[in-house]
Amino acid sequence: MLLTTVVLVLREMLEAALIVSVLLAWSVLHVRSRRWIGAALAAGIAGAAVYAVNAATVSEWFDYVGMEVVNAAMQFAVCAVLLALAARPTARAATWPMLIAVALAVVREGFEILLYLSGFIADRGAWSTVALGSALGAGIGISAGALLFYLVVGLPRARALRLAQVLIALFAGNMAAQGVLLLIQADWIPGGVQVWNTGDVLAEDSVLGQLLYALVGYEATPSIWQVTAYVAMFCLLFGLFLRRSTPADGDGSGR
Amino acid sequence: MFLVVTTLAMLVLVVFVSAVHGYRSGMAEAERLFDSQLQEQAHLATGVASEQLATLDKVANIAFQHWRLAPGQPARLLAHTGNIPATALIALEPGFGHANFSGYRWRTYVHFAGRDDVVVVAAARTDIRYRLADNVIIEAITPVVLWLPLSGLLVWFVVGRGLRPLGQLAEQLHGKQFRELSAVALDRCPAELETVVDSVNRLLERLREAFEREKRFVADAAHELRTPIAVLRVQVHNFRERLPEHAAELRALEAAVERMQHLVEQILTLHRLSPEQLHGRFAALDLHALAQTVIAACYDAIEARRQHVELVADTGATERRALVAADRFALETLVRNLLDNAVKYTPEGGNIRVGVSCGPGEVVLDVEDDGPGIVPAARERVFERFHRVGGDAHASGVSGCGLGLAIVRNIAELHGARIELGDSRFASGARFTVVFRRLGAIGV
Repeated sequence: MLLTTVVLVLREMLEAALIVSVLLAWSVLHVRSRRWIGAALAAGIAGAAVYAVNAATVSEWFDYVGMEVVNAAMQFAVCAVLLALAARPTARAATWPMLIAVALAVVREGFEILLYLSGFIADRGAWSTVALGSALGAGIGISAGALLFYLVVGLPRARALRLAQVLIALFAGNMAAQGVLLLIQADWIPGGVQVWNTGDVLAEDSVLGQLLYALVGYEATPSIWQVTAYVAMFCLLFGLFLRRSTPADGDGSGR
Repeated sequence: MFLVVTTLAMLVLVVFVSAVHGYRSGMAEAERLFDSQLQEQAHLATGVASEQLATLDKVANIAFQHWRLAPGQPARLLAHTGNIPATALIALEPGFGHANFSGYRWRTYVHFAGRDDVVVVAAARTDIRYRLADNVIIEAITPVVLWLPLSGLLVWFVVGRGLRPLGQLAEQLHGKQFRELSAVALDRCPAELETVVDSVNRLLERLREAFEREKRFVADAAHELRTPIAVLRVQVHNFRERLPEHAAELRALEAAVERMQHLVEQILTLHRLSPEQLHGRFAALDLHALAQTVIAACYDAIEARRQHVELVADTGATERRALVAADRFALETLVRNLLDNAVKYTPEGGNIRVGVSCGPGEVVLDVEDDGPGIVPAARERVFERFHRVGGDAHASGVSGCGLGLAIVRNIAELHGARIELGDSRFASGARFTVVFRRLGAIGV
């Protein structure tokens, strides 16, 4: 149970922490402000709690695939917001897209964790194990996020901005692919052909598999639609970044 | 912040990943331990008589079966404990396996006793084995996680303490006064910082020497230039007398020489106003009386341009004197430069207003004119050395060297006064406000 808790909490926490840290690094490099992050995290945690409390109601929507559809909608919403960020008219206007993207990512990942933890409310004997597993998973996830943040902001400015752009595009691709997977699970779109199976080489639930899943959206058995959504979103977002700004003009201060 | 967060993040990452790894390997080790225990129990059960085996059903988490294998015949169950069914649950092949019965999953071990073809099947409940191992390992790793916040506090404390000398150094450098280039010294300088402090001090020393050399050179050069310029002026004047047909060119030459002389005088004034020169010459001065003196001295120039000047004193209800601690020469220079500036930029027949007022703990000097004024964007730069609004092609056609207001700011800084630039009360024009601390006010 400890390992299951660690894997689940780590998977969700790592995903959220990496998105938060890259957007925060982007904000620090570009807008030189990090005040929005507190509001975004608070909104995300509150949203996750509200969603978790109403999980039963939501799951009944759309002929009992409500949760998949709502989660997919949130993934696509984050993609849309990241597209708005890439095509931002001014650096200062980037604060709102970042705030919304972080809040939605935290709602999405926080909801999964709360839903899992709520299963142990009645099982008092498991509390200590679940708490320990959650602490381990959350600690590893948050630490990885903090290190990624300092890794990005510690690079020379031009390279840091380029790395942040690549990571944001990768996260958006991951989000799009996950959204498609959820819609496949909801039977809203057909499953499609499985493109590859690397489960034997690198299992999704291994530590490296988890890290790659959070970082680049690694899937051992993706469908053609997932791969298409991933590649399309990555190219679209990265292309927008390249068109809108080169790292050298990324100074948002106006001086 | 960076050091504390990254150190803590790495500590958490390494400790927590090790804890998870430790849990995994601990569970695998416990599994091996329980297996060898089950093996031993199967061996021991071989010696138990079949009749006795049926009575061993008190232990819920372990079960046994005795089978007899006869060649060419199906295996026959001889005896079993009460918590295991009387049927074959697994293939009777030596070694470990798993079986499900009585509502649980069991780890099994089949042991061939080697006598009378007896085979012993021993089984242990996996959930109980798992819970036991889980409890023991979690007890071992929980303190690691619980004590981590304390490690975090220690890291924060140690990093903070280790970096304190660096903060002290930054504070000393940041707190250095205008042109103060004395060496920095730390209470406790760790070996790692000694090189930095030495380098900073050597740099400060070189900077101080360079400033000194520059100042001395400029002052000496200006001083040496005074005599030839005076001679030049006399000669130009004589030429004008002798060559009236070149009067226009010689007037331009004379104006240029005058400008050069003014520049040299201003440079010498700047030198005289360095902190070392002023040190210890401060006295209590009445700013109102001093302004009167300066206006009187400049009156000829004001009169020549038919300008109207007024001195307004507002010393408050208690008739306080506008006393400030200042160097007389410096303060006179400040007022004169502001007044000269107003005279230069006010058109002929225009107005100039000099105001001296006493506020709470301060004395305020205002010099206003109704000249063209200074646009807000250009206000910050007017105090820079050799800066003239609009460059040398000044619309007013007024000559100047661009040092007057730099000297004003220099004097204001040396007296701890603040200087502001705004719009005058006239239809157009600039207002220079210098706010001094009033002598006799609290803390002065």
